[in-house]
Amino acid sequence: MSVYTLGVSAYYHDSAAALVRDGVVVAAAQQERFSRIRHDHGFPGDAIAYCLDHAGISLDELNAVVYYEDPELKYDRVLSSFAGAGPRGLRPFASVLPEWWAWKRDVLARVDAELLALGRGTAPRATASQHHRSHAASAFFPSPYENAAVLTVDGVGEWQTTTIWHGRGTSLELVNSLSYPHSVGMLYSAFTYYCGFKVDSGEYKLMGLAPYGEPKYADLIRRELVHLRPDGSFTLNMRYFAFHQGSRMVGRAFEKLFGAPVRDPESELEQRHCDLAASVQAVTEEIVLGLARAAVELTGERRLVMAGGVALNCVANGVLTRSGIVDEVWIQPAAGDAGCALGAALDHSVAVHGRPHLAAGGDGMSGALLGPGFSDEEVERFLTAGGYVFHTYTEDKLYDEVASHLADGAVVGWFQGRMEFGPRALGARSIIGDPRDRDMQKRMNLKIKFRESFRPFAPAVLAEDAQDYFGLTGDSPYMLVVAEVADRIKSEAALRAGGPGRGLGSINEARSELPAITHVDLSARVQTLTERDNAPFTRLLRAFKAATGCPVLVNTSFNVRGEPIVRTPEDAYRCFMRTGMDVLVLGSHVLHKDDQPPFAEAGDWRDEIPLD
Amino acid sequence: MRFVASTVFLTRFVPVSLYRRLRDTSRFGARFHRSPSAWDKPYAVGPR
Ligand SMILES: [Fe+2]
Repeated sequence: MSVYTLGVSAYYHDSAAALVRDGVVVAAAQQERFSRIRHDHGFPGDAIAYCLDHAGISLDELNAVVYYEDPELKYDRVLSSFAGAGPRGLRPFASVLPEWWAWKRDVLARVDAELLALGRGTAPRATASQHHRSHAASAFFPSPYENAAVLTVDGVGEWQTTTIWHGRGTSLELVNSLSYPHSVGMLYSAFTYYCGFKVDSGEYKLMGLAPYGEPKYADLIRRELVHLRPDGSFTLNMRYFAFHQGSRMVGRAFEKLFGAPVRDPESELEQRHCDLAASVQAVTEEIVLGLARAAVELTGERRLVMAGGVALNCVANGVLTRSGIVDEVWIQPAAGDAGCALGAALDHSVAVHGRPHLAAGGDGMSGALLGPGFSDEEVERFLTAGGYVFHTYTEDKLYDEVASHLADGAVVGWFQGRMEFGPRALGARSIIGDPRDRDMQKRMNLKIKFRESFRPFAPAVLAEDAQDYFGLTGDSPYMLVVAEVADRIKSEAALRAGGPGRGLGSINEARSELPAITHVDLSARVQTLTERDNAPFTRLLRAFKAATGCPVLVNTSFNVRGEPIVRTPEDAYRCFMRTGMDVLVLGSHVLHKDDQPPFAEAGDWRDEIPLD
Repeated sequence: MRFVASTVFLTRFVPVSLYRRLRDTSRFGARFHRSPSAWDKPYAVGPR
């Protein structure tokens, strides 16, 4: 009989559930996709219900429920943090602590109660793992490596902010760690906050801004804010930070150091914000390289696996893969705290059942396609009930049909199979387009995503053609590595300039044959595709290549700015009708915008969805 | 609850905070920032 383990991460940021059967991840999803609240941190009841339904089991059939972190340890850190805060911590203390006393210290009882309230039987009592152990397990156990060095880096778990582990077979052993308040995640978030973006979600924007700036402040950061040691460890100079006091990320001394107050989110972005972004990015890369060096030195392994929010910094990942410090890198696609649910469950299951995916080769993430899927019949029922106009294609015709629309310049909503687990759309819930089109970036940003036009798009490329287009050293199946575009496809002007054009003025120049995915610094956040990871999307790329000679497509998440990625055909149709998309593909069904009945909504959806 | 929290904070946490700051014994302080290594365990290279 199969043995099932449920992993849960909740109550902090991006709640999620994951179900593991005999050492194999069978289902995983983030609660935000169900509740439609971005980064929903509530109890992931819907995500759990989905996992159970997918496996066709009730809570009674679970062998264990593992919560992703240790509440007592975390409470200890929260108290210590306030003991370091001084009188300024009074207000945050008075608002935060009652919540800890009321239920957060006993969060496992809360998890038990919420599970029972689902009405799906009785689960075994929840047990607690530890935050960074969950991250480390999510990085190592599903990785394709028998042995590896493990590096986890985030804002903070309980106490730890950075950990190095040695993974061998089914054992995972802590080698060393750095603890709060000394944290790369906090450093990056402090600059995110200082530049006027939202902490815990605006970090991507800061990273996207960096190529427009010069790292002018990097030396100042190294001198004043961060003390980097030769052994890879580092500390933050807490004179400048205020996150431990509870209400702001940076203190007055920080603002004085950089000569201006925190940027008002409504105000214009200036060149100095780009320079700040470039500077903290440069220092982050230096820290990550130092940590990777330490991980290799301490474990003697040449393969590295990573997780934790900082592992989503795909620019730093790119630098790491090219550094020669390690031979191979594998990064958990759900590197943030959602992935802790998966790590916690795997950690529990692997001890007994081993790592079955190793025998088959490749990783154990099923291309990260671990979320809910919808059959063609289900989609058809939905479309017919709504009176929507669609054409259905057999599989061999579908790809050619969609490829020809893409080649004609259409922006296509691509909804296929099971939803992705983790922050990236990988070709199951994606909006796609022709990367050769000069206007594609602007069109997609302004008419579809309704966001700043500087934000770049990512390319999906057939793995076998990746080297012809990008300077990648290995595969990047989860879009977590940034690489430079190959010289072959760079524009004359870009080659002549000998380097990237910088400054906010240079947004809309064509820099390569694929302008829609070439960032201002001539880089791209690449996803490499194989049949094994995602067959339908790979076949579509093949059809597009056959039609145009180009094995690359623009791939961006199927949502508008501020909204979670779509989950159901209904979510997808709504997003399709609200935006400037031309074609929607739901499984084998193809819909054209012009054929659809008028779409009327009560109120303006832009008022419902908060800006990100 | 907020009142209880405030009282606890003023009577327990502020003195601890000031004491630590005076003696510079905290992980948040300048002495730790200047220490040769920030790893939680000794940095030991070689077979374990
Ligand atoms: Fe984390």
